[in-house]
Amino acid sequence: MALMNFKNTVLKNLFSKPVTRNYPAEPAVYPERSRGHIEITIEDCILCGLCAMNCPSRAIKVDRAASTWSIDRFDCIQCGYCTEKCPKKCLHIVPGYQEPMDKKAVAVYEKPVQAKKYPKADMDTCVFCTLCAKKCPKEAITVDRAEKKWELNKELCVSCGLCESSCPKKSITLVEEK
Amino acid sequence: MVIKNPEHVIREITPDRLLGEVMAFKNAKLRLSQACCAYSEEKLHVSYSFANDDTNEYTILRLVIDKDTEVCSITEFYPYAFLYENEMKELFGVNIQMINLDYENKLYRINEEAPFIKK
Amino acid sequence: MAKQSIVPFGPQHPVLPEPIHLDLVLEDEKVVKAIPSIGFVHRGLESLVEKKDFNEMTYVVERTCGICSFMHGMGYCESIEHIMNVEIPDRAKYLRTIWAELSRIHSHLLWLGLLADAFGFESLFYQCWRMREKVLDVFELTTGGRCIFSVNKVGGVLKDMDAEMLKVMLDVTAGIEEELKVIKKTFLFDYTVESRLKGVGVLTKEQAHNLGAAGPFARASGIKMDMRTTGYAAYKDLDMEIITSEAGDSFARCEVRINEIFQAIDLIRQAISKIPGGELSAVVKGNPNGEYFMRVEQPRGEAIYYSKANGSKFLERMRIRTPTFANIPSLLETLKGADFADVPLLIVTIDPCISCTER
Repeated sequence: MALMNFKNTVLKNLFSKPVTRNYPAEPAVYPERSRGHIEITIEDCILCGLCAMNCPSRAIKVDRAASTWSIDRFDCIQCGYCTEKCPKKCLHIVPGYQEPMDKKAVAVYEKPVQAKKYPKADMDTCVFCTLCAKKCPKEAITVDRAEKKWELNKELCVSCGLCESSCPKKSITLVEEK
Repeated sequence: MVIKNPEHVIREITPDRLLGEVMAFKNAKLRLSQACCAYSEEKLHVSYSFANDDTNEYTILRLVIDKDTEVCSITEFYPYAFLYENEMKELFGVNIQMINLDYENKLYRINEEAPFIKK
Repeated sequence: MAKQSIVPFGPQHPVLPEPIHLDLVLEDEKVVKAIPSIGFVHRGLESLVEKKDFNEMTYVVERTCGICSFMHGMGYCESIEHIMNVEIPDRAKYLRTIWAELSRIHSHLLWLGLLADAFGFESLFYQCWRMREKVLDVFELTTGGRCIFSVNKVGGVLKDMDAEMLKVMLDVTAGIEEELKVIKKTFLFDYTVESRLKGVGVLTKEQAHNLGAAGPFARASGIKMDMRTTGYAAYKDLDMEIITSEAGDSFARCEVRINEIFQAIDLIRQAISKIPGGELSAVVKGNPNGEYFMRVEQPRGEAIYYSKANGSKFLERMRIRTPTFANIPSLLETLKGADFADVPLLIVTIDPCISCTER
């Protein structure tokens, strides 16, 4: 039991500088890992839509017809699940928080036109193991082991390259369509 | 640190044996750790969990009942179960009778009846 | 018999950051009965399992509450890992333990601040929250988030801590320990604080047991109960004694929580000295099938994560039983016989987290 226990703390606080920062005159410093917002390297994006499918708050929209990738930054919860799921690793979570605005806005990114790449299996090395068909997120590949057939539905294919990386015989390559 | 983590025991019983079993737990000085409901294949799965904090034993009594089966409230033995029972009653529509503090489906103020039952 | 009157308390009240309503039946200045009503902000997060698969659910569960966020995610992931029989790598277990204990420090410092605010010691409140700010900075450095980290996933953790970060963590916790030793004197040995806390809202050991109290609230009444003794994450390799107090009043609750901060700092030191190298996550294949009740010790007490899966990627039922839900009945008991002026203080002593309660 004592009186005046807080005295030393009070005196120390009286003669020391404030612990708070004089923001915005002095800018805030964010550590490297800070979850500010999602950024996209649109050139590498293949518009596969995996990010949009897996986004817990459905903030991301992918329009393949218009070849755009858009995000409602006010819906985004900065969980980083899209960066985990992105097969091309073109999504990044970077420091810098969303600035306040007077209404919700959607940020739209347009993908520059590039020749599309499709997977092609080398029929000499392919063993028809069906791994590529299983891995394909869009079920665009059909493999028939009995008839030794490997077919691709180009309408569905998103050129994600998951088949290429999953092929045990390395017989799938992505080639540009002429 | 002494680690005690025995396997959980899940025992399925019929609603008419519930009060007797709960009384036995009460006499054994176990703590009601939680009560909850799940909806699976047109049946309600009601679980009452009892914890022994000295040995960390965890026993679960499970009722598998139809939507309209009457279940007697255990607030007679565990008065603090009233929040859990009101919650089950409101979210799943479990027909629990004689709760000592019945909120009459007004605990969470949801307009919809039994919102957690998949249509 | 004195005349009885009913005073509504809440849902909007200066001491409550979140809405809970109590109808207080008063006899003169004494409370004779309290009837709770909750449900002002019920969100029905649990029913989202129908729409989000079990991996996405991690992020939903984490956002149940901003203070115990990390342990919500951890408890949920451990319940799924248990169903799927996934053994997560040791390094992930240790990282989870370190972040969980740091969350405990952050939560208890927040509570100490709120307590000081409730008994009217404004500068002590700022002192506690200033310490807490340093913890938040460490969180931002190591995980990227200040309150919600999103570093858990089914099968392990997403981010690693390098030696430098662990060093920063040790330095910051050592600094907090020094500062807390000074602050502890004011909380536990000051005449004014003592007169406000001692003998207020006594809950005996028997009452606490009969009302199903949990966490520091029960431990302050002498119940030896701590879910960390079930040995989840890396707790089985660490040394700790359950901290209890006998008095069961508000002062004892304050004492238990202050000592738990020191204990958490000690646990972090042990974990950092023993942390093994290796992978961050195990491979998780397929969908869960089964059910499990995972119990973890949140800063506020025992929290239960019940997952029931049927082999599809959507869970059948996900339930979170939070400690505040278990502590409301004991709160009503402590309010009986208390002075009307002590009601805000007593509500703070259970460390209410209404956003957890109203998932």
